Amino acid sequence: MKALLLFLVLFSNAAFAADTIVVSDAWLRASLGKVPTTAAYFKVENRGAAPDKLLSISTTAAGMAHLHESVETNGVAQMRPVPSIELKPGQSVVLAPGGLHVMVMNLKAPLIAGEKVPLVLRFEKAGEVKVEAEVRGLK
Amino acid sequence: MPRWLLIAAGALVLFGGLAVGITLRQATAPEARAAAAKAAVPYKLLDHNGRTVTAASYRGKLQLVFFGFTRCPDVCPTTMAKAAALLKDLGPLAGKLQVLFVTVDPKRDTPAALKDYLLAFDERIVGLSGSEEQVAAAAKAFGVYFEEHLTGFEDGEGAPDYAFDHSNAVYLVDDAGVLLRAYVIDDVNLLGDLRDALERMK
Ligand SMILES: [Cu+2]
Repeated sequence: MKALLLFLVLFSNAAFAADTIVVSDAWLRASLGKVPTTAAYFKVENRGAAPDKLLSISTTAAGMAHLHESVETNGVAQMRPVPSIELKPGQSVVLAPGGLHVMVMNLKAPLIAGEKVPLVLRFEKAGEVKVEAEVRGLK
Repeated sequence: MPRWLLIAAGALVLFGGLAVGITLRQATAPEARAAAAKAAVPYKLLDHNGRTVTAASYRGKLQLVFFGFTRCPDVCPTTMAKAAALLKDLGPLAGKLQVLFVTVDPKRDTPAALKDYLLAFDERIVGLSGSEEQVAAAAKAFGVYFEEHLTGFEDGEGAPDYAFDHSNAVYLVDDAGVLLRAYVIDDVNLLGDLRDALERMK
Protein backbone atom coordinates (compact mmCIF):
# COMPACT_ATOMS: atom_id res chain seq x y z
CA MET A 1 0.00 0.00 0.00
CA LYS A 2 2.80 2.38 0.93
CA ALA A 3 4.61 1.44 -2.25
CA LEU A 4 1.49 2.16 -4.28
CA LEU A 5 1.06 5.55 -2.60
CA LEU A 6 4.69 6.39 -3.24
CA PHE A 7 4.28 5.33 -6.84
CA LEU A 8 1.16 7.50 -7.23
CA VAL A 9 2.92 10.52 -5.71
CA LEU A 10 5.95 10.10 -7.96
CA PHE A 11 3.81 9.47 -11.02
CA SER A 12 1.56 12.50 -10.46
CA ASN A 13 4.61 14.68 -9.83
CA ALA A 14 6.13 13.54 -13.11
CA ALA A 15 2.86 14.21 -14.90
CA PHE A 16 2.63 17.66 -13.31
CA ALA A 17 6.19 18.55 -14.37
CA ALA A 18 5.56 17.38 -17.93
CA ASP A 19 2.42 19.50 -18.12
CA THR A 20 4.23 22.78 -17.47
CA ILE A 21 5.11 22.97 -21.13
CA VAL A 22 2.47 21.61 -23.50
CA VAL A 23 3.31 21.03 -27.15
CA SER A 24 0.37 20.25 -29.43
CA ASP A 25 -0.51 19.86 -33.11
CA ALA A 26 3.08 19.05 -34.13
CA TRP A 27 3.46 18.29 -37.83
CA LEU A 28 5.99 18.29 -40.65
CA ARG A 29 5.40 18.89 -44.32
CA ALA A 30 5.79 15.68 -46.32
CA SER A 31 8.79 15.63 -48.64
CA LEU A 32 8.34 17.32 -52.00
CA GLY A 33 10.13 15.17 -54.54
CA LYS A 34 13.69 14.49 -53.43
CA VAL A 35 14.17 17.86 -51.73
CA PRO A 36 16.21 17.21 -48.53
CA THR A 37 14.67 20.17 -46.66
CA THR A 38 11.29 20.60 -45.00
CA ALA A 39 9.67 22.44 -42.10
CA ALA A 40 8.05 21.48 -38.80
CA TYR A 41 5.31 23.38 -37.00
CA PHE A 42 3.57 23.12 -33.62
CA LYS A 43 1.90 25.05 -30.83
CA VAL A 44 3.76 25.44 -27.55
CA GLU A 45 2.14 26.64 -24.37
CA ASN A 46 3.67 27.53 -21.02
CA ARG A 47 1.21 26.41 -18.32
CA GLY A 48 3.74 26.95 -15.55
CA ALA A 49 4.06 29.90 -13.18
CA ALA A 50 7.54 30.90 -14.37
CA PRO A 51 8.80 32.07 -17.76
CA ASP A 52 10.63 29.54 -19.90
CA LYS A 53 12.47 29.56 -23.17
CA LEU A 54 12.52 27.16 -26.13
CA LEU A 55 16.20 26.84 -26.97
CA SER A 56 16.52 24.22 -29.68
CA ILE A 57 14.95 21.30 -31.49
CA SER A 58 16.30 18.07 -32.88
CA THR A 59 14.95 15.06 -34.70
CA THR A 60 16.41 11.70 -35.60
CA ALA A 61 14.83 12.09 -39.06
CA ALA A 62 17.23 14.81 -40.18
CA GLY A 63 20.79 16.00 -39.79
CA MET A 64 19.75 19.46 -38.61
CA ALA A 65 16.78 21.37 -37.27
CA HIS A 66 16.78 25.08 -36.50
CA LEU A 67 14.26 27.63 -35.33
CA HIS A 68 13.58 30.05 -38.15
CA GLU A 69 11.22 32.81 -39.08
CA SER A 70 9.99 33.82 -42.52
CA VAL A 71 9.71 37.58 -42.75
CA GLU A 72 8.59 39.81 -45.59
CA THR A 73 10.16 43.20 -46.27
CA ASN A 74 8.98 45.26 -49.26
CA GLY A 75 7.75 42.17 -51.06
CA VAL A 76 10.92 40.17 -50.45
CA ALA A 77 10.71 36.91 -48.46
CA GLN A 78 13.64 36.28 -46.15
CA MET A 79 14.37 33.72 -43.46
CA ARG A 80 15.97 34.65 -40.18
CA PRO A 81 17.44 32.34 -37.59
CA VAL A 82 15.57 32.64 -34.29
CA PRO A 83 17.97 32.10 -31.33
CA SER A 84 15.18 31.14 -28.89
CA ILE A 85 11.45 31.59 -28.23
CA GLU A 86 10.45 33.16 -24.91
CA LEU A 87 7.32 31.89 -23.19
CA LYS A 88 5.84 33.93 -20.36
CA PRO A 89 3.58 32.12 -17.88
CA GLY A 90 0.31 31.37 -19.67
CA GLN A 91 1.71 32.33 -23.04
CA SER A 92 1.43 30.17 -26.14
CA VAL A 93 3.29 30.54 -29.41
CA VAL A 94 2.19 28.98 -32.69
CA LEU A 95 4.65 27.98 -35.37
CA ALA A 96 2.76 28.01 -38.70
CA PRO A 97 3.43 28.28 -42.45
CA GLY A 98 4.67 31.71 -43.50
CA GLY A 99 6.08 32.65 -40.09
CA LEU A 100 7.88 30.88 -37.27
CA HIS A 101 8.96 27.38 -38.28
CA VAL A 102 11.53 24.73 -37.63
CA MET A 103 13.75 24.43 -40.66
CA VAL A 104 14.54 20.73 -41.02
CA MET A 105 17.60 20.10 -43.18
CA ASN A 106 19.46 17.09 -44.53
CA LEU A 107 16.57 14.63 -44.20
CA LYS A 108 17.83 11.07 -43.87
CA ALA A 109 14.91 9.71 -45.91
CA PRO A 110 11.93 11.32 -47.63
CA LEU A 111 9.02 11.97 -45.24
CA ILE A 112 5.78 10.35 -46.32
CA ALA A 113 2.33 11.61 -45.28
CA GLY A 114 0.98 9.68 -42.31
CA GLU A 115 4.38 8.84 -40.82
CA LYS A 116 5.22 9.88 -37.25
CA VAL A 117 8.50 11.64 -36.54
CA PRO A 118 9.89 12.20 -33.04
CA LEU A 119 10.89 15.78 -32.17
CA VAL A 120 12.87 16.74 -29.08
CA LEU A 121 12.36 20.31 -27.89
CA ARG A 122 14.85 21.69 -25.37
CA PHE A 123 13.66 24.30 -22.87
CA GLU A 124 15.75 26.37 -20.49
CA LYS A 125 13.77 25.20 -17.42
CA ALA A 126 11.53 22.32 -18.51
CA GLY A 127 14.46 20.53 -20.15
CA GLU A 128 13.66 18.07 -22.91
CA VAL A 129 10.10 17.69 -24.14
CA LYS A 130 9.49 14.88 -26.62
CA VAL A 131 6.63 14.94 -29.11
CA GLU A 132 5.50 12.84 -32.05
CA ALA A 133 4.97 14.99 -35.12
CA GLU A 134 2.67 13.83 -37.89
CA VAL A 135 3.88 14.05 -41.49
CA ARG A 136 1.22 15.82 -43.52
CA GLY A 137 0.84 15.97 -47.29
CA LEU A 138 -0.51 18.99 -49.12
CA LYS A 139 -4.04 17.66 -49.64
CA MET B 1 19.96 46.02 -56.59
CA PRO B 2 19.34 48.90 -54.16
CA ARG B 3 16.06 48.56 -52.24
CA TRP B 4 14.65 51.86 -53.58
CA LEU B 5 15.18 50.67 -57.14
CA LEU B 6 13.37 47.46 -56.31
CA ILE B 7 10.43 49.38 -54.89
CA ALA B 8 10.41 51.66 -57.92
CA ALA B 9 10.45 48.63 -60.23
CA GLY B 10 7.62 47.04 -58.23
CA ALA B 11 5.54 50.21 -58.42
CA LEU B 12 6.17 50.39 -62.15
CA VAL B 13 4.97 46.79 -62.60
CA LEU B 14 1.86 47.40 -60.50
CA PHE B 15 1.01 50.74 -62.07
CA GLY B 16 1.95 49.64 -65.58
CA GLY B 17 -0.12 46.52 -65.07
CA LEU B 18 -3.18 48.53 -64.15
CA ALA B 19 -2.74 50.68 -67.23
CA VAL B 20 -2.37 47.64 -69.49
CA GLY B 21 -5.36 45.98 -67.81
CA ILE B 22 -7.54 49.01 -68.49
CA THR B 23 -6.33 49.20 -72.09
CA LEU B 24 -7.14 45.53 -72.66
CA ARG B 25 -10.60 45.94 -71.20
CA GLN B 26 -11.47 49.01 -73.26
CA ALA B 27 -9.85 48.28 -76.58
CA THR B 28 -9.68 44.89 -78.23
CA ALA B 29 -8.83 46.38 -81.61
CA PRO B 30 -6.20 44.41 -83.57
CA GLU B 31 -3.76 47.35 -83.21
CA ALA B 32 -4.03 47.21 -79.44
CA ARG B 33 -3.46 43.48 -79.37
CA ALA B 34 -0.48 43.79 -81.73
CA ALA B 35 1.02 46.53 -79.55
CA ALA B 36 0.52 44.38 -76.47
CA ALA B 37 2.12 41.38 -78.18
CA LYS B 38 5.28 43.42 -78.76
CA ALA B 39 5.62 43.98 -75.04
CA ALA B 40 5.66 40.29 -74.08
CA VAL B 41 7.77 39.80 -70.97
CA PRO B 42 11.19 38.77 -72.32
CA TYR B 43 12.20 35.49 -70.68
CA LYS B 44 13.86 32.45 -72.19
CA LEU B 45 14.09 29.41 -69.92
CA LEU B 46 14.13 25.62 -69.91
CA ASP B 47 10.89 23.91 -68.84
CA HIS B 48 10.92 20.81 -66.64
CA ASN B 49 10.67 18.57 -69.71
CA GLY B 50 13.82 20.13 -71.17
CA ARG B 51 12.05 22.33 -73.71
CA THR B 52 13.18 25.94 -74.28
CA VAL B 53 10.28 28.29 -73.57
CA THR B 54 9.48 31.99 -73.81
CA ALA B 55 6.35 33.96 -72.89
CA ALA B 56 5.08 33.17 -76.41
CA SER B 57 5.13 29.44 -75.63
CA TYR B 58 2.04 29.94 -73.44
CA ARG B 59 0.18 32.29 -75.79
CA GLY B 60 -3.56 31.81 -75.46
CA LYS B 61 -3.25 31.11 -71.74
CA LEU B 62 -2.83 33.36 -68.74
CA GLN B 63 0.39 32.76 -66.83
CA LEU B 64 0.76 32.95 -63.07
CA VAL B 65 4.48 33.04 -62.33
CA PHE B 66 6.31 32.57 -59.03
CA PHE B 67 10.07 32.70 -58.43
CA GLY B 68 11.44 30.44 -55.68
CA PHE B 69 13.67 27.44 -54.99
CA THR B 70 12.86 23.86 -54.01
CA ARG B 71 14.93 23.87 -50.78
CA CYS B 72 12.92 26.83 -49.48
CA PRO B 73 11.19 25.12 -46.55
CA ASP B 74 8.37 27.50 -45.73
CA VAL B 75 7.38 30.34 -48.06
CA CYS B 76 7.73 28.49 -51.40
CA PRO B 77 5.75 25.35 -50.55
CA THR B 78 3.11 27.48 -48.83
CA THR B 79 2.78 29.67 -51.93
CA MET B 80 2.73 26.73 -54.35
CA ALA B 81 0.13 24.90 -52.25
CA LYS B 82 -2.07 27.99 -52.51
CA ALA B 83 -1.44 28.18 -56.28
CA ALA B 84 -2.48 24.52 -56.56
CA ALA B 85 -5.64 25.33 -54.57
CA LEU B 86 -6.40 28.16 -57.03
CA LEU B 87 -6.19 25.69 -59.93
CA LYS B 88 -8.65 23.38 -58.18
CA ASP B 89 -11.02 26.24 -57.33
CA LEU B 90 -11.03 27.44 -60.95
CA GLY B 91 -12.30 24.07 -62.18
CA PRO B 92 -12.42 23.79 -65.98
CA LEU B 93 -11.36 27.47 -66.32
CA ALA B 94 -7.90 26.39 -65.07
CA GLY B 95 -7.32 24.87 -68.51
CA LYS B 96 -6.50 28.38 -69.71
CA LEU B 97 -4.14 29.19 -66.85
CA GLN B 98 -0.50 28.11 -66.76
CA VAL B 99 1.08 28.23 -63.32
CA LEU B 100 4.87 28.50 -63.60
CA PHE B 101 7.50 28.04 -60.90
CA VAL B 102 10.80 29.66 -61.91
CA THR B 103 13.74 28.50 -59.83
CA VAL B 104 16.26 31.08 -58.66
CA ASP B 105 18.54 28.12 -57.84
CA PRO B 106 19.31 26.54 -61.23
CA LYS B 107 22.56 25.03 -59.89
CA ARG B 108 20.58 22.60 -57.70
CA ASP B 109 17.11 22.74 -59.30
CA THR B 110 17.55 20.80 -62.52
CA PRO B 111 14.50 20.36 -64.78
CA ALA B 112 14.09 16.78 -63.49
CA ALA B 113 14.28 17.90 -59.83
CA LEU B 114 11.71 20.64 -60.50
CA LYS B 115 9.30 18.21 -62.15
CA ASP B 116 9.58 15.87 -59.20
CA TYR B 117 8.99 18.71 -56.71
CA LEU B 118 6.00 20.20 -58.51
CA LEU B 119 4.21 16.87 -58.91
CA ALA B 120 3.62 17.04 -55.15
CA PHE B 121 1.48 20.17 -55.69
CA ASP B 122 -0.31 19.77 -59.04
CA GLU B 123 0.76 18.06 -62.23
CA ARG B 124 -0.41 21.09 -64.24
CA ILE B 125 2.26 23.35 -62.71
CA VAL B 126 5.37 23.66 -64.86
CA GLY B 127 8.84 24.35 -63.47
CA LEU B 128 11.27 26.59 -65.34
CA SER B 129 15.04 26.54 -64.95
CA GLY B 130 17.96 27.50 -67.20
CA SER B 131 21.45 28.88 -66.96
CA GLU B 132 22.18 31.32 -64.13
CA GLU B 133 22.27 34.10 -66.75
CA GLN B 134 18.86 33.11 -68.16
CA VAL B 135 17.33 33.00 -64.69
CA ALA B 136 18.82 36.41 -63.79
CA ALA B 137 17.48 37.88 -67.05
CA ALA B 138 14.01 36.45 -66.41
CA ALA B 139 13.99 37.85 -62.87
CA LYS B 140 14.96 41.26 -64.21
CA ALA B 141 12.18 41.09 -66.80
CA PHE B 142 9.59 40.51 -64.07
CA GLY B 143 11.14 42.98 -61.60
CA VAL B 144 11.96 40.09 -59.26
CA TYR B 145 14.67 40.48 -56.63
CA PHE B 146 16.69 37.51 -55.44
CA GLU B 147 19.95 37.15 -53.61
CA GLU B 148 21.94 34.10 -52.62
CA HIS B 149 23.48 33.85 -49.17
CA LEU B 150 25.18 31.18 -47.10
CA THR B 151 23.06 29.67 -44.33
CA GLY B 152 26.11 28.91 -42.18
CA PHE B 153 25.31 25.19 -42.25
CA GLU B 154 26.53 22.29 -44.31
CA ASP B 155 24.37 20.34 -46.73
CA GLY B 156 24.14 16.54 -46.73
CA GLU B 157 27.41 16.31 -48.70
CA GLY B 158 29.31 18.55 -46.30
CA ALA B 159 29.36 21.51 -48.72
CA PRO B 160 28.37 25.01 -47.51
CA ASP B 161 24.59 25.32 -47.72
CA TYR B 162 23.01 28.38 -49.27
CA ALA B 163 19.54 29.87 -49.55
CA PHE B 164 17.88 32.84 -51.20
CA ASP B 165 15.99 35.94 -50.26
CA HIS B 166 13.48 36.39 -53.05
CA SER B 167 10.39 38.35 -54.10
CA ASN B 168 7.32 36.61 -52.72
CA ALA B 169 4.84 37.86 -55.34
CA VAL B 170 3.03 35.93 -58.05
CA TYR B 171 2.97 37.65 -61.43
CA LEU B 172 0.02 37.61 -63.79
CA VAL B 173 0.85 37.52 -67.50
CA ASP B 174 -1.93 37.89 -70.07
CA ASP B 175 -2.71 35.60 -72.99
CA ALA B 176 -0.41 37.62 -75.26
CA GLY B 177 2.55 37.27 -72.89
CA VAL B 178 2.32 40.76 -71.40
CA LEU B 179 3.11 41.17 -67.71
CA LEU B 180 -0.04 42.64 -66.13
CA ARG B 181 0.64 42.92 -62.42
CA ALA B 182 1.94 41.34 -59.25
CA TYR B 183 -0.21 39.84 -56.49
CA VAL B 184 0.55 38.40 -53.11
CA ILE B 185 -0.75 34.83 -53.10
CA ASP B 186 -3.06 35.64 -50.15
CA ASP B 187 -4.75 38.51 -52.02
CA VAL B 188 -8.51 37.97 -51.53
CA ASN B 189 -9.15 39.30 -55.04
CA LEU B 190 -6.78 36.93 -56.84
CA LEU B 191 -9.23 34.06 -57.43
CA GLY B 192 -12.01 36.42 -58.57
CA ASP B 193 -9.68 38.38 -60.85
CA LEU B 194 -8.41 35.16 -62.43
CA ARG B 195 -11.96 33.86 -62.90
CA ASP B 196 -13.07 37.14 -64.53
CA ALA B 197 -10.04 37.25 -66.83
CA LEU B 198 -10.42 33.59 -67.82
CA GLU B 199 -14.12 33.98 -68.51
CA ARG B 200 -13.45 36.99 -70.74
CA MET B 201 -11.08 34.82 -72.81
CA LYS B 202 -13.81 32.32 -73.81
CU1 LIG C 1 13.63 28.53 -42.69
